Order: sequence, then C-alpha cells, then structure tokens
Amino acid sequence: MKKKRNPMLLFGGAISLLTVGAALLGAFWTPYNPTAVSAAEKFCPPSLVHLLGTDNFGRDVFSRVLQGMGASLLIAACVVAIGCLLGAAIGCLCGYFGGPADFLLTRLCDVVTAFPSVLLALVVVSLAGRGTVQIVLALGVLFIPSFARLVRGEAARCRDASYIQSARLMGVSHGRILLAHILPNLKGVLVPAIVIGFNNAILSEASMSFLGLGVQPPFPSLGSMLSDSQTYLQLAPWYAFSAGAAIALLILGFSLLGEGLQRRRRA
Amino acid sequence: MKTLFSKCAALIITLFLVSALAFFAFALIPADPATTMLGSEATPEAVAALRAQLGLDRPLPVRYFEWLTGFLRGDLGESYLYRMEVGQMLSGKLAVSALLTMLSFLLTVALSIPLGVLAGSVRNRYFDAAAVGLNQLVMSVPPFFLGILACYGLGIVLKWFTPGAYVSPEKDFWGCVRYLIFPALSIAIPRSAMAVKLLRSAIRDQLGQDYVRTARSRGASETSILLRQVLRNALLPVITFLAVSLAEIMTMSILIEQVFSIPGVGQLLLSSVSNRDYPVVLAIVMLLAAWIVTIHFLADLLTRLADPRVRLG
Amino acid sequence: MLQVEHLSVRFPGRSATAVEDVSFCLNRGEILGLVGESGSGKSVTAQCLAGLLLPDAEVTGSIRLDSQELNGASPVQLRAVRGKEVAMVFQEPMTSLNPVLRVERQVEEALRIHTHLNARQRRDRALAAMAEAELPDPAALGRRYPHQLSGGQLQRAMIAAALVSEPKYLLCDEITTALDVTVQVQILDLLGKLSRERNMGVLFISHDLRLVKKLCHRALVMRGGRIVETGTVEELFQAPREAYTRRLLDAIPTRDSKLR
Repeated sequence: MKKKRNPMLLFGGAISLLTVGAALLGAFWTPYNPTAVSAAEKFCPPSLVHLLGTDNFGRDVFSRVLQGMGASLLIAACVVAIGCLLGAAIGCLCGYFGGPADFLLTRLCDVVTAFPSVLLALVVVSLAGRGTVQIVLALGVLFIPSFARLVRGEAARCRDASYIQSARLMGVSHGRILLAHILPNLKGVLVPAIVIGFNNAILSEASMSFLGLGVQPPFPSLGSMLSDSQTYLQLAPWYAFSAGAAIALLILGFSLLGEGLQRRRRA
Repeated sequence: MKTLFSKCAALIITLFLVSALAFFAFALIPADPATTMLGSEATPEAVAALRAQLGLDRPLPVRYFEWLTGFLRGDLGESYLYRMEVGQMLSGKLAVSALLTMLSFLLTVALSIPLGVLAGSVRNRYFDAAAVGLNQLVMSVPPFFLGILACYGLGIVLKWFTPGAYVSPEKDFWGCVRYLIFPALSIAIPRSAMAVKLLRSAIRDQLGQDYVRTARSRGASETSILLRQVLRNALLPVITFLAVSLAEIMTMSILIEQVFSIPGVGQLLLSSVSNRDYPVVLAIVMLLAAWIVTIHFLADLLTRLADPRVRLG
Repeated sequence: MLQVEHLSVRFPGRSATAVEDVSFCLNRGEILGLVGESGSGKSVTAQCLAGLLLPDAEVTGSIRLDSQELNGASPVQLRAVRGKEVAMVFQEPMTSLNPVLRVERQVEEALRIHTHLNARQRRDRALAAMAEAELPDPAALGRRYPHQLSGGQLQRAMIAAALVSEPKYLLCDEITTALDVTVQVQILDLLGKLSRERNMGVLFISHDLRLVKKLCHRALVMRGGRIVETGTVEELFQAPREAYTRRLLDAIPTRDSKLR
C-alpha cells in the first residue's frame, strides 16, 4: 500500500528536535551567563546583542530560556521515567495476574486519574514542601496511574491471546512470559503514551513553577520566568512572550509528535 | 435503575475514601501545627495546652470522625493562621471562583460546538489542514500564558480592561462579569480547541456511517443530515469531555486567578499552602475533590441519558 | 419507466471502470433482478440510480426517470427525486438506521423532507407503512431504538421507511444478505406483494440466484462492470446463453449436488 503522509509526525518531530537541540545547546553553551546580573542592561528590548532582550536584573532572556527549556525537559524526563517504569510494572503485573489486588489498584488508578495533576501536585507540595526533587517525585507518582491503566489493558489482552495460553501449557514460567511475550507487545501503546506524558509533565511542571512551587530561583525555569515577567509586562513584554512561547513550543512539538505516532500506529 | 443505585453507592464510597486519604495525609505531616503557631521559642507547656485546645492530643480516627461529621454539617474547620472559620474565609471567594468556572464553561461550550461542526463538515483540504494546524497550536498554549497574552494585548495595548483592576461581584456584578470574561476566555480557548478536535473527528467518523447514506437516499439535504442526525451521535463523546471540563476548569482557574489577581478559592489555596495552614488546604482540597468526583458521576449519568444504547442496555 | 442507457462509472485513481456501458429499463409493477458476484458493479449501479455516489465519481450515459434526466441533475433536483420517486433499502439493517433516533422518527423521515404534513399525519402514515411492511405492533416498535429490534424487524422498518412516501421505484441492494433464511423468504414475499399492490418497480440486487429465481420477472447478469446476459427468469434458468451464467447456476447447491 502507498505510504500515507503524516505531516503531524513530521512537524512534531522537527519542532521537538529543535527544542531538544536548543536545550542541549543551553546545557553546554549560552551566549551569556544566564544568572549574571547587570544593572546597566535592565529591560533591553530584543536586539542583535540580546536576541530576546534582558529582564529586570539585566539577565539575557535568550540564555535563560535555553536553560529553562533544559530544566523543563530534564524534569519532564524524570517524571515520565518514574511514572512509566513503575506504572508499566504495576500495570503489567495487575493485567497479567488479575485477582483482588488488580481490582483494588484499578479502582485506585481510576480515582487518581480523575483528579487534575496540578491539584494533586499542589497537595503533595503542601505536604512535602517545595523544591525540584519534591516536584519530580510528586509528579512522577501522579503519572503512575495513567501508565498503569494503559499497560494493564494491554497486558490483560495479551494474557488471553492464544500464543500466551500455549506458552503456559508448555510450562513456560510467568516471569519469562512477561519478559519475552508481553513486554514486546507493550511498545506500541507505550511509545505514544510516553510522548503524551512528556507533554503533560512539561505543562504540569510549568504550572507548578508558575505558582512558585516548582524549581526554586535563581535557577531558570520557564514557569517561574513567566510568573516574574508578569510584573514587568508593560515594561518588558518580550520577557513574558519568550518564556511563554518556549513553553508553548515544547508542548506543541511533543503533542504533534504524540498525535503523529498514534496515527501511524492506527494506520 | 439498578445501575443508578450502584453508581450512587460508588460515588459515596469514593468520596468517603478521598476524605479519609486527604485527612490522614494532612494529619501525618511531621510539622506540628501547635509549634508552628506559637513559634520555636514557646514553652512545652504552652504547646501542650494549645494541642489540647486544638484537639490534637486525641487519637486520629476520633479526630477524623469529628472532622467528617463537622464537614458534613458545614463546619469546615478553623484556620491555624487567622484563627477563623474556614467557611467564613471561603464564603465570598467560592462565589467568585464559581462565577469564573461557569463563565469559562459556557464560553467553552459556545466556542467548541459551532467550530467543531464547521471543522468536521467542511470538505476542503486546505481549510482542513489550516484548521487542524491552528487547533493544535491553540491547544498547546497553556491557559496562564494565554492569560498573560490577553493582559498585554487586550489590556495594556487595546485598553479593553485594566489587568488587576478586579471588581467584586457584590459591588458591581456586571462589572465583575466584564472583568472575568478575559480570564474565562483564557481558560476556554485552549479547552475548546481540545473539544473541537474531538468533535471534528467524531463528525468525520459519523459521516462515514451507513445511516448517513440512508438519510441521503431519502432526499435529506447535507445540512439537515449534519445537524439532525450526525451531530446527535457525534456529540456523545463530546458531552463527556465537556462535563469533565468543569473539573479541569476549576483547577485551571487556580492559575488564572494568579494571572488576573482574582481573589478566589485558588488564591486562598495557594497562600494557605505557602503558610502551611493545613485546615484551610484540607477543606479546599476536600471541596474540590467532592466537586470533581460529583462532576465525573454526573458526566457518566449524562452520557447514559444521551445514548439510548447505553441507557437501555 | 426508469431507463438506463450506456451508463459508465469510473472512480478517479482507479484504472478499471466500475460500471461500463450498462443499459436496461425498469417498468412499474415489475421486479427486475440484478445478479453477479461481489465487485461486479451491482451496488455501484444501484447507488448511481439513487445519485448516492461520491461527487468525484465520473458518471456518463443517461438515467431517465419517466422523462426527467437524472445524470447531471442539480443536487436540489436529485434530492426531490430521492426518497420520493425512487427509494432505496440497503444491505446492513443494523447500521443503516441512526442509533440515537427512535424507529418511528426514521420511518417518517421521507415525509418530513418531501411533504408538509403535520406530526400527527406523519405518524399515522408511518404506522400504516410499518403495518404494510408486516411489522407486528407498529406503535410499540416505533417507540423503540434500532438496537432493540432484530435484524428482520429492522429490515422491515427500512422497507416501511422507503414505502412511506409511496415511491414509484424501489432499489433493494442485497437486502436479505444479512438475514436468516426464514426471514429472507418472508421479505421476498413482502416485496412481491408490495410490487403488485402498489404497481411499484423493484430492482432486486442479489448474489443469490435462488432468491432472484423465486422473486423476479426478468434478470440481468453482471460481471466486471458489464451486463453479460439479460432475459426473463425462465429463459435464464432454463437455457442460459452465456458460459458465465451457466457457471453461476452450477454453483447453486441443490439436493442433487450433495448426492453427487
């Protein structure tokens, strides 16, 4: 059959590549020191010297955006890693073995996924205090149920497949079946879910930082930059635009990528 | 009828579990409220006296039971920081947040259904590509950033409103609504983009169904097929999404209240989180949780009512 | 008279024509069979008659309803014909009805579109049509939703919906394929009766020669988009001229073939 064009995958991949590349660049090199304060250069509008202008401390916004994107991506990666690994493990075991534990955990996941992640993260932060580690752990734990639910469904479907049944009749151990037969089947659902989870993690982290409950200053974070910039919206609108556009670009890239991957899976 | 009963039972059990979970989570945090309130120099006797006064020296299950019965009677607890009834602190703020949520919800519905029908029915490759692209872009803008853009573009540049100049609804109800329109739009626009996407694909899906061909063979016009037959089917998944939006909008308004300096429940929640004023946080979280669980329950019922296949089994 | 002359249909992007140079006519009161294997162009022909093909299909030739030319007619003119002069019933009764609307509402659909009757009159006509389609207890069944009816009941409801506006011609596209054998026979009897009583022309499309033999007066045999043989049912079954028709006839399982 003729290969169908998938512009979403194409654009999403390109934008994601661009943002990840920019973040990687920011980790090793930025045009200016993102935390260097310069009273003389407060609120410079965007120019060739400062691509995206400077903020209220005279810091270079472009450098800060680069590093902020890196922070967002790193946090999102940790969050998704925690959520995906634990969620997949729990979902796999629940779906494969079933039983009362499965029933209970499924109900629990249903309840947790009904709550918006920002609200739950707020609760966790109010209990555990603010900070980067807390945010990563809080969001990571909150991402477990959505992955667990997805994997559970897939694993339960696999369990009833005839080739698994025959493997069991031949005396293959449960552990081997899980690793050799069920795990490879999960790739199809997990890859788009990871990309979409990444997307949600970036939004949640930005929201929490915007509320001052995520990454703490002076480390650059897109959410807290956006929150700071609001005070100077009239004086330095470019500050708010840069930080906000960076968040939107990250989310746009990963949402298109996730959408494209799902379409390819369906096609 | 039987399903309705079991759904109600599940709703009550869920609310009960959520309340227990929230209460014990807040009861187990290491910081002792009495020490926090009196400061680190307080004598152990004074701390013990305050603990007794607050009822913190009694066993947890008893405290939970008292808190729950109080909550059900409308006694939401007392703030550690302000020594004030939480219910009293919330009264005005709840109305503002409810108003913002309702406005956002109405705008979401008003925007998403016509736009979704348009996106789903126009059969032009270029229009479709542009619509899908724009939709994805709008979906990607976080509401709080859209709010800041609105403050700048509509507030500072076009001077349609003054960011930060909030009017309380008691003083001037329509003035308040006029101010809240902008935060409500910031929430509604990305949310409707998601609904439009859902409705567009549902309409596309339904237009390929056999019953559409039947309707054509009866001589029905394309518009009447779309509005009278297809839309009713395509709206089914969207109804659930929109209903659940009511829960999402409530949390989004926590952020939007920050952007537009609206003194609502979100601001109180945030300041209480910062001040570690746990009774207030617990009460607000419990109220929001009850709201969310109830909304999901109602969304489920609504879908059942709207879809005869599910309703009648 | 519904007269088709030199009808050809091709879809863009496909080299083969779906229907090629097909000519036939359908008189009122007559039941015309259209047989052929799947993909032979039977359904495309029928949908073409009802003007239901996608707009990008290239249709040449002439389709005349009494004296009106349908090929190339405006959408408004076509809509005025569809459901009023020419009605159609489809293969899958389960999916051909809208799942969220009551059956009665769908039976009266054509009246809503083509007449100015009020709700009561429409309902009375719909119930009468359902009774004529031999649906038991039309008033009760009409209040139900499609998923609550059996396949046979749904197909009768579809026939009632087609009859309600008293069309001159009825196109039946494999309408018995999804049904049980006993229900098939009942539906055939119903079609025969309706055609006689209403002096209605019926185009009966089927891949099942036995049904065509039982019901139709004349039949067309289609293969690869062309008509390979025409004649009265007696001629076709007694003395088929074409090798293809003979092969189709041989494929009918008979009591003898089991013994052989």
